[in-house]
Amino acid sequence: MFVELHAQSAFTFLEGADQPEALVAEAARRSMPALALVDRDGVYGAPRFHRAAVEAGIRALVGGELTLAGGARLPVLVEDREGWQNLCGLITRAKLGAPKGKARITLEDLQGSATGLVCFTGGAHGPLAAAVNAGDRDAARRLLDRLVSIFGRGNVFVEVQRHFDRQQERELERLVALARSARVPLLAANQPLYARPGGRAVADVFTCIREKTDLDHAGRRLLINAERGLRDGVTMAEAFRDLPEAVAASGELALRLGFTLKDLGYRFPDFPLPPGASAQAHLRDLVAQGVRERYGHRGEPVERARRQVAHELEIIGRLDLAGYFLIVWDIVQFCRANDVLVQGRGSAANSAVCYALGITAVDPIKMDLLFERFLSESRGEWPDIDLDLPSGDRRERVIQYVYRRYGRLGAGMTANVVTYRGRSAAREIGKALGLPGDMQDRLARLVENWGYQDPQAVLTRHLAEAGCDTRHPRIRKFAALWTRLQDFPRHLGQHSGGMVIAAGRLDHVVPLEPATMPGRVVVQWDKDDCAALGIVKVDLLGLRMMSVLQESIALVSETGGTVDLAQLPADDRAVYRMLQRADTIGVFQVESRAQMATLPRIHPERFYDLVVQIAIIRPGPIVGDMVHPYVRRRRGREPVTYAHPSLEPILARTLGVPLFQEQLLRIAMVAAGFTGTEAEELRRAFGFKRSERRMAEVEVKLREGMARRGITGKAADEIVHQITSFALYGFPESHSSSFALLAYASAYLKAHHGPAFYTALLNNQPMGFYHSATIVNDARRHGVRILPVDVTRSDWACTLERRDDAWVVRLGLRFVKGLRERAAQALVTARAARPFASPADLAARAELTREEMATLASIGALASLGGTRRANLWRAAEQDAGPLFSASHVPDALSQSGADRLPEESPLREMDAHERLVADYAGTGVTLGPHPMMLRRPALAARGVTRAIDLARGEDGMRVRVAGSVIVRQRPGTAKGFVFLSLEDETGIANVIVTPGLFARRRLPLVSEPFLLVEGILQMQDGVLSVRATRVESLPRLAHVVPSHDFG
Amino acid sequence: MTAVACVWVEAFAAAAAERAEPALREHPMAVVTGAPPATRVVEANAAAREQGVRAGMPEAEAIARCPDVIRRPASPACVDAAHRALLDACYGVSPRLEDVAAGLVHVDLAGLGRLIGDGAAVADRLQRAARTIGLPARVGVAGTRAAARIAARAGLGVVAAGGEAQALAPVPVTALEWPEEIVAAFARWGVATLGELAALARAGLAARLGAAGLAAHDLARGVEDATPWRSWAPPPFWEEAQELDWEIHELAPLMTVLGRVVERLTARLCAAHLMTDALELRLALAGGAHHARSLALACPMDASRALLTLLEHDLEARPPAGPVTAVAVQASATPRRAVAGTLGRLAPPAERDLATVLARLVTLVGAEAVGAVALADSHRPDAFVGARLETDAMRVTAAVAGDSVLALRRLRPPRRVSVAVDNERRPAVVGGALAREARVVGCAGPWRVSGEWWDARAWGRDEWDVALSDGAVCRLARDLRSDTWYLDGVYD
Repeated sequence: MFVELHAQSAFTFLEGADQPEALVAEAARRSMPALALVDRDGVYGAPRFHRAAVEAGIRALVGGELTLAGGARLPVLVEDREGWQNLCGLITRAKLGAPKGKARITLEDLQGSATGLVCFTGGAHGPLAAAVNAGDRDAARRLLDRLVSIFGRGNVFVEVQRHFDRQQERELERLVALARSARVPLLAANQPLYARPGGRAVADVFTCIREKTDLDHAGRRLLINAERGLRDGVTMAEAFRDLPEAVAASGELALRLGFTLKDLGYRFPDFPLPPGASAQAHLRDLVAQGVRERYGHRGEPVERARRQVAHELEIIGRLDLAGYFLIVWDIVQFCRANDVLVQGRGSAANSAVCYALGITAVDPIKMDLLFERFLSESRGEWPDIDLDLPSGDRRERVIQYVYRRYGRLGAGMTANVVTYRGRSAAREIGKALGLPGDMQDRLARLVENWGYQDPQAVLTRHLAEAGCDTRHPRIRKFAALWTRLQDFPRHLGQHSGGMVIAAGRLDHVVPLEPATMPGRVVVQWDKDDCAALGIVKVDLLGLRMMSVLQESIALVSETGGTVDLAQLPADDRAVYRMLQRADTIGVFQVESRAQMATLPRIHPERFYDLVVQIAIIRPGPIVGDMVHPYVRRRRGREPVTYAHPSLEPILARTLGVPLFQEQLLRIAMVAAGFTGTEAEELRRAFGFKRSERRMAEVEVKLREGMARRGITGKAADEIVHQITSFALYGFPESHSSSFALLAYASAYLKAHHGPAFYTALLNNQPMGFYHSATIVNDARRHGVRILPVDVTRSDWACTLERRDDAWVVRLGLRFVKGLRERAAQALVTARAARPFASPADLAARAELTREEMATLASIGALASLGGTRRANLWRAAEQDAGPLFSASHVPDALSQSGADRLPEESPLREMDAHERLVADYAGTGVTLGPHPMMLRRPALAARGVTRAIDLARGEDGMRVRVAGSVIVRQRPGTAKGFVFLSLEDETGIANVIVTPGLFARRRLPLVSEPFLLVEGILQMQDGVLSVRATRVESLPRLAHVVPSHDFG
Repeated sequence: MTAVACVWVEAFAAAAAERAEPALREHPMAVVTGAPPATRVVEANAAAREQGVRAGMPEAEAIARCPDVIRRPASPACVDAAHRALLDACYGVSPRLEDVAAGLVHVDLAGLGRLIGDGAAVADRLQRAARTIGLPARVGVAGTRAAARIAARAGLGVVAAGGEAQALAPVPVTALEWPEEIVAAFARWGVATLGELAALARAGLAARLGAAGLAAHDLARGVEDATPWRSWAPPPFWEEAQELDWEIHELAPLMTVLGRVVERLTARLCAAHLMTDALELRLALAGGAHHARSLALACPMDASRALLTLLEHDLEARPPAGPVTAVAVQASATPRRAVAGTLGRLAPPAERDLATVLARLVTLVGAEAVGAVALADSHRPDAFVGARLETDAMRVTAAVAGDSVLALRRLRPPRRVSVAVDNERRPAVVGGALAREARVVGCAGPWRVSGEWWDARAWGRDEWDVALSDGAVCRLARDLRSDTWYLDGVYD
């Protein structure tokens, strides 16, 4: 019996040319009983390989190739769990001891870590290859003896391969002689790089990418023939008819290898408990305490809460998950104790236990959220708790805490496998095929919208439409290769926040690799692989709005006030007025152009309205035509009806319109009698990796279920439409609720603590939807005074200053373009030691470059040290005289420099308002002077242009002209070609709608001109103002560019 | 004080294209360069500029701004021809010119007063001369070249000598091209006109912008350039010709005549310290026909004997179609190349001899058949590439070490044979190898090689080493695409 023990998948990056699943499928097709995956320096593909093999009924053997010092690769196979632990440990050591992306290990490292591992000598990259190739029999023998001494006799095999290669045959003869003289058994393998012969093309393309060349120049680095596919026993027996023992050895060895990933040995860490307590009891105590704190001691809510947590605790107990909740609770406790704002999101918000433990901030009982969406016994998965943390340092502190708590080798970030997708695949393949550069560019742009296609469609439809000659062999190959390469792994990245932890050493469960960021390690599996193998993950996600909230709160306390997010008044009128007016620039989640256009129509009056508002502007509800019915019902223009009476309890809160994922699941459960698990299956079938076949199956099941309950005809169609149209992008209610809390908090801060909020917002740019210039203008419209950058006052970040009994914002040095942070910090330190006497003194003590000084001068940041902007620019431009140009060499005015000379009188004319504006935008991206449109106002007024603020006084349907700097350009995929512009002037923002026809005619000014004048019809609907453009005209450019958010 | 005129054609590449294709003047037109989609506008004519088309703009943007814009690819030959024509036109007005850049010529007006008139009259003459050759030139006249250039660009016409600084003062700085750092400095400082620039203290500018600042200051004041005047003269014509009093029917007397012509030509080249790297031979034939030949030389040379030999070989290979009545030989001149160790002297004889030999070979077998071969980096057996023949590269390569005790004599081209295979598809009987038919008594293989699957040249073959019943040991190859067998070689 033959078993291939040296298969390599695409996780042997840029060598292997098929996915692990493809190898398994081919092995199953050829009725092979087992297969071993032995990728280079990793077990990246092992979980997928394992899953596919289990499904196909094949034994999935695992191993890995270890890169030795010198570059040779030693393949090893895992015999038992100890072997697995050794392999993971060895790969970890090889990876952590080498630069990122490389690995290196010595034979000494193997000594003592070889138990449970079986080694063979590999093919062309194997350790014996160099010596055998050179005909150095002694060196080869010494190395083989060394391997025997490390792994033990019986655990070392001399690998022989036959790819019909003349040179390889010569080496094989020497290998056979060597094995016989050393009494080491032979092992036949083909070391397949792909499943079927067609994979050779991919392997050759990978060679080109790896070697940075193209197929025409790769020469003998390409494979010699197409014989590196997966071979079955018959073929191998024929190829090795002279060495039958080598083929038989593979089958015998495969029988010996008892380890599979089912036997991983992962254990969740034990939470340190008080003496005598069990994890479940300790959790119960903590939850009981939390319930008392959240709900008080008496009353209906507390009773309901007790009932709910008891139900949840029972399930948690049955699933033995108490330890997991305690560990997440522990992380949250660390955050609280260390001034790190934290909030759980995602489906955890459905759990009363999480709420009681302080992990989440949404009350699932009050909100009537579905616990089963978070945790169900039938799913057999770990729960998924995501924690939102402020981005940057604070989040890093939490991550480092987890490393400290569970050991550097006990915790790791989950990987993110970066794959070949449309554009990257097109570019790499185009390069490898040697297509001309311009064609590569064209193809890379084209493929973005192709999605998944079969090669024939790519060839006949897309490439033909793009004007490529589809008869050309290279274009045909491009189509085939591009389709095939989709989703192939490219390299390993790091997931943004997923962490896994283990009892003992995580590097005995999965190999670890260094991350780009120092002090971090990444496991070799992504979050899906970890979940599938039962490894617990906690997501620690960085959210800039959390940073803004945290910083705002600190700034409020600096000004003597206090804000406690947990104690915010639930029905603050100022907040709701602001939301109803769509005055939401800077407010979390509801600041986009589309959100603003809906806010006045939905008119939020309570917290739940905000939850709806956040969920409704999503592709799901938009594509499913749910926005307008909801708005009509909310405005009382349409009766609230239900597709079937049984849906009323589910949809009553959202006026009969399904808006949340949970509702979708409940509809399936109520209308079609799905179980919780079946409903979850439905969600997945329509989820991101949707497959037509699975969707069709689920739809049939859905209709059958409904028919059993008497729901047929139009009602059934309507329900199916609702479910299918937005299952893909529907937003979970729990998620929306968590986001709504942050939105409410940010709106509250904006309404009541403007200076602190805007300061924090400016310090966390770039974030959200608008550029700093828009935020500054918004702040000023809200009466928040903003002071310019001043070298005698500004810190790196924006700060608050007390001026005329009010708190005002001082722009920080971080806004000065081109100013190094280190230089700015040096400036602040030097200033603290002694005030600056002059610009020259500043430049000398803070070691600023001439360019930095020039920028500071041009934005007026040196004004406090005397002199006008131009005078300081003139001074700043002076070059330091080097030693050669001392006084004796240069005429008078050149001979003196620095602070010991009287400043030369500036011959330059001072800046006018327009020049200051240009300098401000160029130097900081914002201006505190008049808005650019203000400078044009007299001319615009003469042309009958209405100011943004005055639009509200107009009448629906009247013809108006508006003008402004374009701050947002959007063409959402769901808007059928309509384009939305936001034009800002000195009074506010005018919203413009451009029809597809007008866009086609005036595309260029619409996408590129910074200032536009738009003529059109004023539309007023439920307080939403917009201008439907009929004519667009570009206004003369100024010498600066106002930043805009374009088509994001 | 002498006066200088500057003749300047705005957007010269566009003007050159219009000159070549006058109908373009009626339409917006842009000269573009680069392969799509990275095509960019090099220059645009006035009509296109009016509609917002600018140099450096992507072609797509130009079309979006001006949908009717006609595009023409940038043509260096067209620009060269137009520039040469501009120089010729100016040369008709004054013999003292300076060739500054494409579309920009300085004209010395010294001595033209009595011939043509004052500065304005000369400017008018120059403008008309340019118009005659289809170029819309602007002319500036001033006491210095710098001032004349600015006057031409800014449309100031004639600037009175000595009044340059005053006349240039209102000209915006943006009318001229400056180094990037100077543009940035002017923008920051609010320097908008040459007058404002000239008003800045010279030392202050030097302290801030260094030499570039001083140069800018000089320019703003119209101060004469520091560079000496580089006079332009029409390039000489390297041709010698001779008309014959009688018709020549044979090669020998023709070579005698050609010998004298070539000697005169090489003597002129030597006197100018030049060599030639190509010859044009034109023979007028009785009856009015012509025989013309171009000879590219392997290396530049000036030896008349060697050149004559080359001409002789060429005429031997391709004799004229009739009796010769006149001969002309034109040389393409190239500067004399210094050879290491023999500064300023001719190339060593070996190189010259090799060139002659190569030229003879090329004459005999054609250029594509002369050179060296090198092994190609490919799995394809016997793959080679053509390489340049270099004497110093001819080294003996060491034999490749291996354990093979047999030598393979390859058959080039391989001989087609017929092969019968056994039930395992291994060769069993070979027909047409060394013997008429032989049985395979021993066989190793297949050795499989394939490649270039991405192209129309895809190939694949199986090789077998076989011992035949007649005692021969051969290499057989089966072409996998055509299923044809070949005898690839015989083992000795």
